[in-house]
Order: sequence, then structure tokens, then C-alpha cells
Amino acid sequence: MRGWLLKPRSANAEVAQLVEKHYDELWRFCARWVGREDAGDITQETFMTAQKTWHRFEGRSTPKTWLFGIGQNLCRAHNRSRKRECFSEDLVLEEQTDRDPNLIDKITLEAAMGKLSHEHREVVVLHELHGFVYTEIAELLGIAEGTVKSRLHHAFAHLRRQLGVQEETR
Amino acid sequence: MNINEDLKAYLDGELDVIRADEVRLAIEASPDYQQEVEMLKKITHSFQSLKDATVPTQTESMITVLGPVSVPKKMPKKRKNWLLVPVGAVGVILFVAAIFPVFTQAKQASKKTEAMSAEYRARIAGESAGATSTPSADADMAKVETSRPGPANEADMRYRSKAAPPSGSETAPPLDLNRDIIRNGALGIKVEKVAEASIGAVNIAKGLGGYVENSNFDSSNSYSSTATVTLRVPSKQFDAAMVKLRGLGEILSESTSGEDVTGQVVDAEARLKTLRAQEYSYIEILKTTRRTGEVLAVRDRLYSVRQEIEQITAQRDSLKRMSSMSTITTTFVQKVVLEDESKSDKGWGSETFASAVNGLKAVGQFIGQMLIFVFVYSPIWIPLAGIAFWINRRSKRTDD
Repeated sequence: MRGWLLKPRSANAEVAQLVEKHYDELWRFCARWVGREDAGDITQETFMTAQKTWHRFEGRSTPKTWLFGIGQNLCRAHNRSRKRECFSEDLVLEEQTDRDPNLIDKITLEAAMGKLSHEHREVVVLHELHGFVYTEIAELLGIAEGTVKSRLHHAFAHLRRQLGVQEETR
Repeated sequence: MNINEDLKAYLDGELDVIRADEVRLAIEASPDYQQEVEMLKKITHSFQSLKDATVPTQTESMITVLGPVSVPKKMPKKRKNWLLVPVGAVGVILFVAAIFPVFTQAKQASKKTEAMSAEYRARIAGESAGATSTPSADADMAKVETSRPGPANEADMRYRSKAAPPSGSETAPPLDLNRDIIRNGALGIKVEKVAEASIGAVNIAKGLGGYVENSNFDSSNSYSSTATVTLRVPSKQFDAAMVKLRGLGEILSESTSGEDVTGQVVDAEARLKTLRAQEYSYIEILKTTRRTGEVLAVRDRLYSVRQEIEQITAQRDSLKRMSSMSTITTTFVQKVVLEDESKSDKGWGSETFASAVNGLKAVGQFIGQMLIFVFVYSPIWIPLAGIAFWINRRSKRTDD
């Protein structure tokens, strides 16, 4: 009853608003895990699932975190069913203009990302590319906040090593 | 605690104040940490460039997939496109330039028609005064023909018909400036009781000053009967009638149509005026003609003109009648009420009894089937049973 009072608008209207706000970002997120071809389907499935399970959303996290949690689970299930782990690097290949010499090359960075473990890559993507804070990532992945911090630290240490080696080989 | 492990969290602003201060001091004190922080910043900033993958636009289709709900659609952002201002201005100028000649032509046509009608009135007046120089019927008719309206240009029609001459004692009726529109409507309504709904529809039509033109009742389908009632209601009451009819049941279908016949009515009236002028002219000619051949010819002309007047009058009246009364075809379909077995008012006892009877029937049927099988296969099993019996008996005798 309380939940109903807190959510007077229909699930469809709420989820439609989520579509408006987060479609693009969620598509990018899914494309990173399942590839561009399947990203549309998974994104759509995420919103459909969100629509069906909206009544279960208690508002303890932000709708965006909740939505990306669904998307994350669907991507995992998708990759499990395909018996593969996809980490799409083709997202960056399309745009290679406007390169800032002070920054790391996109392809180099993606290549280094590709060498991270799944857990490390997960937190890096959520934090750096989708702007989730540590508490949100912890909630989304169901891990402790300290674990998020630790994983990010190790992921960045690994990236730094990778990128350092690549810089030296150039 | 290891400072190195908290550098990333420090940059992300995820440390508490005390720890953040410790880390800050450590960074300021150590060039190694400073180098580490610079590298981390570089990597973090480099990630910004990975955020901009092109997304196929599917948001609209996605919202459609979510179902027919009151979805607040994203309003397109209004872009101030200053280029539209001069383009719009040019468009307005072109539009005015295109429209202006039409007005000019209309005014010129009006003046021309007035001039012609003035000439015509003078001619008629001269003829009715018994002018000696009476033109021949054909020549006169040819002149009258010139003032006849051509193709239905409505504005032109109105000018022409206003300018048309009053013929004799008959004064032209004032033109009705209201549009003459034939309105038709069709409604499909699902109702509980078709007969009652039909009566309701008839009452609605009568209440609004209309009547029933046609009605049809069909109950050949045992599940659902239908009725079609064609109502005629005054055009002004068309909307009211539709509203009231909608209230009779659940709307299945609805359609309305309208045909603007103002132009046709105006055209008919203008032609009538012209023909009456012709008729008057022929009558006048007939009065002065003495030769038998000419009299017969003029009478023949008069007859055909009067015939045409009758036809056009009937046509105009028909159009007026049709536009004054609208037609609403209402089809009532009975709601099919299926008995809900779960809500059956039979008690559990009677249900159990019925179930038991059904079971008994099934058992009886099974026994009957078995007997039939036994009988049908008797040519096979009887000899076999006989042989078995004979063998059994013989073996007993041998034992004895």
C-alpha cells in the first residue's frame, strides 16, 4: 500500500520516462557487454522487464541503478546462453577523429580494458563510462562498497601497467 | 593503511574527510604519488572519449512497445531557426500575390454580371411593356444563355444569383447563407437488449423532431440478435442525436460523413431564375406571334423550358430536403452472454450427482464395448477355447 502511494503513476509512464532518460546510455552499456548487434534487443528486454517488475522496485536505489542492474543481469544471461564473453571494442572504432594527444588513444585504452578481468572491467565501465558512484555500483553488483573501491584500484593499477608497457613499446 | 590503494578513491571523491586529508598530504609530500595521481587522472580523462558511441534511435519505437498508455512523449526541443523568418516572409508574400488576382477576378466578374443583369432587366422590362421590336425566340434565348451560370464556381454563383433578374411578379427567395450539408452517420452499438435499444433510438429520433426511415430486426442467430434502424433527424440535431445514441450501449464502430451541396443548390436556383426568365420571355413572344408555325415553335420551346424548370426544382428541393435532414444508420448488436460455469448456481450436491451419473454412464459404455469385442472376436477365441478345453480334459483322463 505504501509503495503504491509512493508510486501513483503507472508503471508504463514511469518506465517510459526511464526510456526517455536512459535508453542511449543503457544501449551503450549493453553494447559493451553483448555487442552492437544484440544491444538493441537486450536494451528493449531490459525495459520490458523493468515494466513488468516495476511494482517490485522499492526506491532504495535510484531507478537508473535498478535499471542497469536488470540490464547487467540480462547481459550476463545472454552471454551465458551464447557461451561467450563479449566485450565490444568496435564501439570506439567508429569514431577516431578529434584525438587529443594528451589523452590515451581510444583503441589502446579499449585494448587495455579488454585485458582486465570481468569483475574489474565491470566496475570500471560502471564508474568511468556510466558515472555510477561506489555505493551505486555496490548495490548494482551486490557487493560491498569496499570491494568496489578495491576492484577499481586494482583495475586502474592493471590498466596503468598495460598502458605503461604500450607507451614504452611505441 | 596503504595510501596507494586509496589514490583512485581520493580522486573520485569517495573517501571520508579525514582519510582524504591524509591522502592529500601524502600526495603533496611524495613525487611518486603525484606521478601516480597524474597517470590515474590521464586514464580517467581518457575514458571520457569512450562514452560517445553512436546509438541507433529506437526510443520512439521502444515507447510504442511499452503499450498504449498515457506516455508523456518527449517534446521536441524548439530550435530557433532564424532562417525560417525570411523564408516565411517570402512564403506569405507569394501567397498574397497568388490570392490577390483571384479577388480581383471575382470583383471584376461581379461588376460584369451586374452590368449584364442590368441590361437584361432593361430588356425584360422593354419586352413586358410590349416593345415593337421583339427579337426572335432563338436570339433571345441565346442572350439569356450568356447569363446562365457556367461551371459551379460558388462565389461566382452567388454573385450571379444575387444579380439575377426578378421575373415578373415572382420575387427571388433570399439566399440561405448557411451551408447546405448532407450529413450521414453510422453507429455500431453493442447492447444488452436489442429491442429496447431500438425503441430507445426511435424515441431519440422522435424527440429531436426526426423519424424512422427504415428498420430491420434479425434474430436468426441464436446467440446474438441484431437490429438496424435508419433514422432521419434534423441536421441541426445531428450531433445531439449522435451523442444520445452513443449512450444506448457500448460503441463498436462509428463513422460520420458530410457532403457540401451548397454549390449545387445555388447552381440550381440560378438556373431556375434563368429558365423562368426564358419562360416569361416565351409567354410574351407567344402573345405577339400570329403565324401558326411560329406559335407552335414557341409553344414547343415553352414546354421544354417548363419541363426543365420542373426537373431543376425537384432536384433543388431534394437537395434541400436531404441537407435539412441527416441520416443516422444505427446497428444494434446483442451482447453475447456466456454462462460462467464457475459461477453456476447449482449446488455441490447436484454437481456430484451429475458427475456420478456421468461416471456410471462411462462404466456402462465400457462394459458394453467389451461385450461387443468379445462377440465380434468369438470366431477366433471360441475354437481356441474349445481346443484348450479338449486338451485339458484329455490330459485329465490320461492322468486317471
